[in-house]
Amino acid sequence: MIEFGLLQLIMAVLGVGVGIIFGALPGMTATMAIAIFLPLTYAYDLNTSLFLLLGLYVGGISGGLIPAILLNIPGTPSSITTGFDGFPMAKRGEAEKALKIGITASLIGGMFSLAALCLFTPPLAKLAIQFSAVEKFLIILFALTVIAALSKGNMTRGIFAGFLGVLVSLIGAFADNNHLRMVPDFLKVELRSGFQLLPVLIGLFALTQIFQEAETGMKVSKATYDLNNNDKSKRFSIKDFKGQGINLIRSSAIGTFMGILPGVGGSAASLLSYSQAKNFSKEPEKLGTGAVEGLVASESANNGLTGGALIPLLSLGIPGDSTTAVLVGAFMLQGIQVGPLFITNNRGTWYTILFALAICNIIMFITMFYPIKHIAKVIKLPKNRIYPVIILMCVVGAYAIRNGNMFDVWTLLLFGVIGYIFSKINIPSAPFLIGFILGRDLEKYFVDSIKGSGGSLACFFTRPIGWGIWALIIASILFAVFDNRKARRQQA
Amino acid sequence: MLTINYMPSTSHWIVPPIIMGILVILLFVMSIQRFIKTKKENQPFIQLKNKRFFEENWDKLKLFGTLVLFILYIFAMDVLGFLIASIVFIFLFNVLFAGVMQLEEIPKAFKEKTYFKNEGFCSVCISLLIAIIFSVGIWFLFGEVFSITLP
Amino acid sequence: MKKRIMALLMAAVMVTGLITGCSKKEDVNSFDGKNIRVVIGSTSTSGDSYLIAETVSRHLAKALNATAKVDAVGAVEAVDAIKNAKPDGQTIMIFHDMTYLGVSFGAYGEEYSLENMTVGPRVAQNPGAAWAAGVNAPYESLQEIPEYLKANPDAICRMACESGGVSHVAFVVFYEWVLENYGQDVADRIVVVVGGSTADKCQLLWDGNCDVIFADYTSLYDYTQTDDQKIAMKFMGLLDNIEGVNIPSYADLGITMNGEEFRFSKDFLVYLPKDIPQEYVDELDKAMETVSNDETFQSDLEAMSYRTAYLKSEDAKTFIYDKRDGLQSLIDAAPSLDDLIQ
Repeated sequence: MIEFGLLQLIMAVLGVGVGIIFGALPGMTATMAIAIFLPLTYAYDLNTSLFLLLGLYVGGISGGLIPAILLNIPGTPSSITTGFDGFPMAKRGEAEKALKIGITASLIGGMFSLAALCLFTPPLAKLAIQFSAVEKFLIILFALTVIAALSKGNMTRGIFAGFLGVLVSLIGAFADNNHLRMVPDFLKVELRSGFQLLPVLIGLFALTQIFQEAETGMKVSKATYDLNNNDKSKRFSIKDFKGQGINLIRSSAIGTFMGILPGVGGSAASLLSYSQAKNFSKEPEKLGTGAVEGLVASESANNGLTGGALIPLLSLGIPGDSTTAVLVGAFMLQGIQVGPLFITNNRGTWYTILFALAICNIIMFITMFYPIKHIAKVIKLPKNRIYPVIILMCVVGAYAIRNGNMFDVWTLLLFGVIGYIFSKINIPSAPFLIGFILGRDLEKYFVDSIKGSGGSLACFFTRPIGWGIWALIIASILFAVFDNRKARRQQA
Repeated sequence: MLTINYMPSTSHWIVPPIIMGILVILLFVMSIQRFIKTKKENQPFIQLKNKRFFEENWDKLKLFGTLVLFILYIFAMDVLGFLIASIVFIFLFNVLFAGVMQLEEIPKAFKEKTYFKNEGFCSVCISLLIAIIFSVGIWFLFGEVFSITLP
Repeated sequence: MKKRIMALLMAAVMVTGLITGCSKKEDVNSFDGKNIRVVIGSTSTSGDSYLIAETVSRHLAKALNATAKVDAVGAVEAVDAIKNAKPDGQTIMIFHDMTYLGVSFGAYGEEYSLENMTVGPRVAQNPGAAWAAGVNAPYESLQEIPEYLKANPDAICRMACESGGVSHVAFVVFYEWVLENYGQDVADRIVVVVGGSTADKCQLLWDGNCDVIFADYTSLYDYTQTDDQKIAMKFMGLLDNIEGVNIPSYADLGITMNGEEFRFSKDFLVYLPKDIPQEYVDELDKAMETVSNDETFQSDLEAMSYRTAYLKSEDAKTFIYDKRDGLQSLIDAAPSLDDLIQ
């Protein structure tokens, strides 16, 4: 039933390899990789192309952890939270360990979501469409509470930064009525669809860092990171996962479910799972200082996304995230309609997808886990040599995100400067970015909700699933406030 | 219960004012927090004396050099195309970050015929090498192999 | 310090000057051997814009002996790219009626009107725009909606469409027709719900927030075949007949615009920069004619339920100008969406 031979294996390896490169380079994403290869798939039959495309998907999502851990620059939006704990570990000399933990967590997350895809697709898809605009709005709000959890000791500032990010994300045209808001006249064309996420992300993380280093003269720090140490605690062992079982399952499940929900962006997955890891942690104060917990939560969630996002796509014809939306094109080009009858009518393709996803996850693990210790050496290269190359990649990525738009390179520079200024006036960049990522969805589902209710805000309190999410939101905020107080008292 | 007047033609101005309102409230809260804190510690509300925007001994050349080079780089890509602009500017970034002083070593290296024994000369060569290898590499991989649209 | 900055700047400027001085381009007005960037007015790679542009470019590139790459840049970005592109045959646009509808509805300015670009050949048509309702809706076609509303004075019908697009036009035609034939009371109970993507509109329908939605025939087809009552739908009417599909169109249902038959297919044309030499247009016409006669091209399009519809540039220009002017009066006379919501 499943055609699998050398050609398919080569396709899968190629897909994963290229995907990892795209994921790892700041500014390149899995979505971009799939879009590039879409026309090429026409040369092969659908089943063979699927190995390539799913490889790109899995590789692209996984590759993002490399620069997040080594350079504190997330390679993709969904690996923002990976750097929170991964980078401090790398600074402690545990780069290789952090990478290996991340890769292993990725594999587990990927396999978890594959199991969900394999076993529960129809019921999960049914559950997903029970979530109306109201629930989606509340889930976005819930994901936003990660801001409160992140800005320990300085909560008001963090929340302020978060809402500022939301406001900036709203710049541009509103999709419902095509009217512009908050756009200066001379940028009417360039800012029509607002600032693009990717240039904003790499601007705030990569370029800001370069500006800061430039200010201090970019002193060559010689081998502060010792990679070849013999200290056993700094090396990866499977024991690192001890006590992470529940965390792994919870994070993978959150990732998978975020994938299943159509129209809730993939980045929300790792954000939510990170904040929940913190809320459930026995030592929440350690998250953000290089805790294995945080790393595991982030990486298992973003790979949990992969299988999850395929669930509504294959059972309802509705893509679960932006990357799977691109995948639809591959089916359509071959004249295959993706909709509620897809699985029944295309049994062979359905099994191929499951099989290809499993193979690609395994290939991802093998191609990343073993060579990673060599890649980890990037951290030892002098910064003044790496930064120019990072600038080059960021520029290419920003320009390419909308298939050739120079304004996005200006966006990159602008947010590099903004991030630099933020660091000077003590406004945290991460909450700003999170607000920016979630802002548009927050608005969309808010407006959709009141559209359905005829303007009444009561709609947010009348649905049972909604009540459940409200409870989670309130618990999350209370926890963060409590944590914030504790941190302040410790400071004082 | 509160209601919001929904009209398609004005729906783009429903959420932004709400967010702006929240931001104003947060600003207010932050200033109150600061007021309480400064009052407690008996300090003035606005304190500019010991504040400095830049770090001590900050590197003016590198910071503003980065900014200016980046702006020029964007313009250069429009004029020269991606490949040439990148080689030139990645080289310049490299030289800037590694220390502009090294440029002064080049005529010296030629005069004394020390070439690669001269550290500055070597460094500039490395800069050039990095610029060429990565620019060409990325141009080839993304522009040619993957046919991404480059400037 | 200053000296050094100056030196650095000078070096940059000199190198720049040197290289620009050296580069020279040969001027042959042909697509032959060129890398053509095909921009489309959508950012999605699963919609009809991408699928048609990709299929056309694949065949067209062969016929032109060039390479073509489709860049999904978005509506205003695409027309802007054509406005600013050099007329050297390296940038073309393949896009449907939104090219002029964006200006007609005032989404973007007059500087992007058809007059500011060169109209190339028509390459394909997507006739597949359709209205669909939940499978248990009390009406079987668009025509029955006003009948139903007349019989049930308390009922309303909520129809989801996008603002400023093809679905907007389709809705306005239907609304005006109801108003004319059934009077204000019935028309008042046809209500607009502003929706976004097809997925959004499906969700609106499933949530019970609207009764009828507008989308592509192919993207909804599966829902009309499923047994799952929660998501099942039925087609209410097409904007234009599709070969081999037995669903009535506006024309079949007698839904007219100002008393005349109304048909609307999305017409995909090539658009080129304004000052492009005529040689390019002629070459494109010739290549497109060859491609349109190619059976694999035809079957590729049919597999996605699109169709070939070659018109040479001259005729395509007259055609699209007429289509635009015909719709303009409708759009100008249409009531604002604000008055059509509940």
